[in-house]
Amino acid sequence: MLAGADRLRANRRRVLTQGLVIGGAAAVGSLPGRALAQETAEGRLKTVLDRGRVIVGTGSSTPPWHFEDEAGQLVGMDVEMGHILANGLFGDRDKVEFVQQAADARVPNLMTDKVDITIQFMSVTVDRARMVDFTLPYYREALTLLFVKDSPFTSLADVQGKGVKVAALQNVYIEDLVKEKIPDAEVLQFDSIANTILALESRRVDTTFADFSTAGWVTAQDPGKFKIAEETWGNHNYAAAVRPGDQRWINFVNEIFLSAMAGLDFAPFHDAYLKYLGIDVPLAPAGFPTQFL
Amino acid sequence: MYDLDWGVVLTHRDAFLSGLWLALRLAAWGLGFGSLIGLALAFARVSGSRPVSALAAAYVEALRNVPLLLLLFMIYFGLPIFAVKTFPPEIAGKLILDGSTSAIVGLALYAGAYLGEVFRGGILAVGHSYREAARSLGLTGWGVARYVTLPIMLRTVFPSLGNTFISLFKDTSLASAIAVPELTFATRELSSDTFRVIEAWAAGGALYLATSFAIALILRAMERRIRWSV
Amino acid sequence: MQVVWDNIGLLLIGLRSTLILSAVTVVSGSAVGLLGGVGLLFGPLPVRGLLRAYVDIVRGLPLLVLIFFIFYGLPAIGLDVRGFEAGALALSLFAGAHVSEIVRGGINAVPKGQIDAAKALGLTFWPRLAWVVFPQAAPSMLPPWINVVVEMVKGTSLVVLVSVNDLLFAATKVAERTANPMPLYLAAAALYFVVNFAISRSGAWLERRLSYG
Repeated sequence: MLAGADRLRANRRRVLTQGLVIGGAAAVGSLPGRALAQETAEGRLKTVLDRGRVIVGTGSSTPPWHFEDEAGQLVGMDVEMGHILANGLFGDRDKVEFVQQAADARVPNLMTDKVDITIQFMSVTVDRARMVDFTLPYYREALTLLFVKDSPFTSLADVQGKGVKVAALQNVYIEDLVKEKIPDAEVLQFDSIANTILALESRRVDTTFADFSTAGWVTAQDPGKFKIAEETWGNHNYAAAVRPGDQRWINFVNEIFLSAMAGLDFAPFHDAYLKYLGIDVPLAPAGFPTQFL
Repeated sequence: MYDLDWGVVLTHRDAFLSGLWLALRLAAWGLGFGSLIGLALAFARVSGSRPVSALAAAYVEALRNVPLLLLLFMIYFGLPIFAVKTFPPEIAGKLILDGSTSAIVGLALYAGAYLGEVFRGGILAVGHSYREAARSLGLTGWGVARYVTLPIMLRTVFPSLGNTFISLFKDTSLASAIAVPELTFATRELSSDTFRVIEAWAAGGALYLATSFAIALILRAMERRIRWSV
Repeated sequence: MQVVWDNIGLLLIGLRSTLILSAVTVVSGSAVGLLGGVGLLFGPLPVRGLLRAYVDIVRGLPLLVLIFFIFYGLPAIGLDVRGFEAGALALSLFAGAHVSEIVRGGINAVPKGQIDAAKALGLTFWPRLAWVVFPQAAPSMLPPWINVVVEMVKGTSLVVLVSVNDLLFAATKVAERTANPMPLYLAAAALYFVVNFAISRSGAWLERRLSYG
């Protein structure tokens, strides 16, 4: 799922790709050979180590993934993964440069070597896997519903067949996505996540259709105001992506991620997961390496 | 190059036309209620009572200096939140206006601030002698306003009223941000559903243009007819 | 309201973008309007016709429609404009059309005798315009021009709908982080008010100065 205001740009990009076929996919086909040759000779890992910092492409306006805190600092789970990567590479979590990019620039910026890696709530899809190499996944996104705390509804089943009003972020496919689960819903589309939350808070809608991570974040900010539906659907993975064809680089990134998610560098990952996603991840138990399942 | 396909506009003409019709209705209601607010403000401004006049002036300044989009957000989202916090549920439920009503309230409040100044100018333009004459005929304060000041003033402010209606008609486009299915909403939906961006926006734009021109022509004709004969 | 104070720095950064966008729009719109107004009056027939079409079309369209048209339309014909550029272009075109009409009206209101006198003094077209017509037209053009400036500052709030990082977008971002939008919208409204109130007050002050001078 694309979240946040980035979705708007993504919609616009759809227009480009459908109308003109000059989107990300086309860019792959027309890549100059120069950059690629340099890659095979040296490898991205050496380039990054020589440079002394890793360049990470991410977004800037979607909590809990990448957003500005009160001080204007870029924080969030995606951003934390960037710091974890820097720590693995250099032993210094600050040797990372974040390039803020719109969601529709995620693949093109990899292909043109503007970034070493994209860590930006990227849903793993087979289509995308044709263009990029995905790292190990670090989150399972899903769709769910938000309710106000005192709502009589608590689950998807509660709102089916009642002709409820549903707020959702404006998107080409959103109407179908909602009606797939709530066929009799009246869908009200808004321009920002903020306004979908307001629609709920002002009782204009019975529920707001949201990504699981967004719903979790919103609820965590004010547990007295909102609650999340019991079920999720459309579950899928978020992973970072690199330019395809550099096995050494992706292996190394994966080792760093694995060490953070299930190994000796677990602590910062665990704390960030709790802080941004509200999930107290247990360290994978000793014995059989279950993290590979 | 981009191949134009105007067929999609024709197949979606119902959404366009109902969006246009809704926009016109929103603007008309906005003008109607806005005029009432404007009249109240204008009489408050010329009332001679300092606090009343200051209050009216503050209203005008506040409304004219804040973006309409934010005003719509406050009415559409803010009012119900306030109502739910303040009143028992039965009353709060009644205060949750639907999108179109919220848009009308916003447009009326907004237009009222502009019309208040227009009407004030209109009232001041009604010569002192008319009011003197009316008083000497035995009309009291309200009677002077109702039978002398208002009719004469309305003729002088008619062109401004017409222009305000056209502005309001264009301003209804903002109601799309609070999920009101007016013309901009319909255009945007067509544009994102079919990816026929140019066709959708050209058609939506043309409808706005043609309608504003048509309104302007009608108003000019009406202006000539009521041009004052006093 | 605590949420507003905690994030006032971010709101002010957003306000700065709004002011920059407004300034760009007002400057370029006024330049377009100055040329447009002169062209509407004195240009050769085809130029007059084109300018009339531009002014009437843009003035007949909602600003929001113009913004969407440019933001979504230009990429469709192969020009990849970003939100800021699309917003600035739409707002400038909008301001340009309105200022054109103001300039046309202002120049028209200058007594014909003044122009004849300047001709008699041997002044050619541009000096005549710059030294005789314009200074006399300026006082009558100022109030509507100030109105356009205020309308443009308010108009910039619409670019939030195409994800430009303006004041309203800054407020929206904080709102999404804190899941508490209403106080932030109120704060944004207050900031817009302060800016616009200051502009219209200084405009009124300038008006009084000019009318005495």
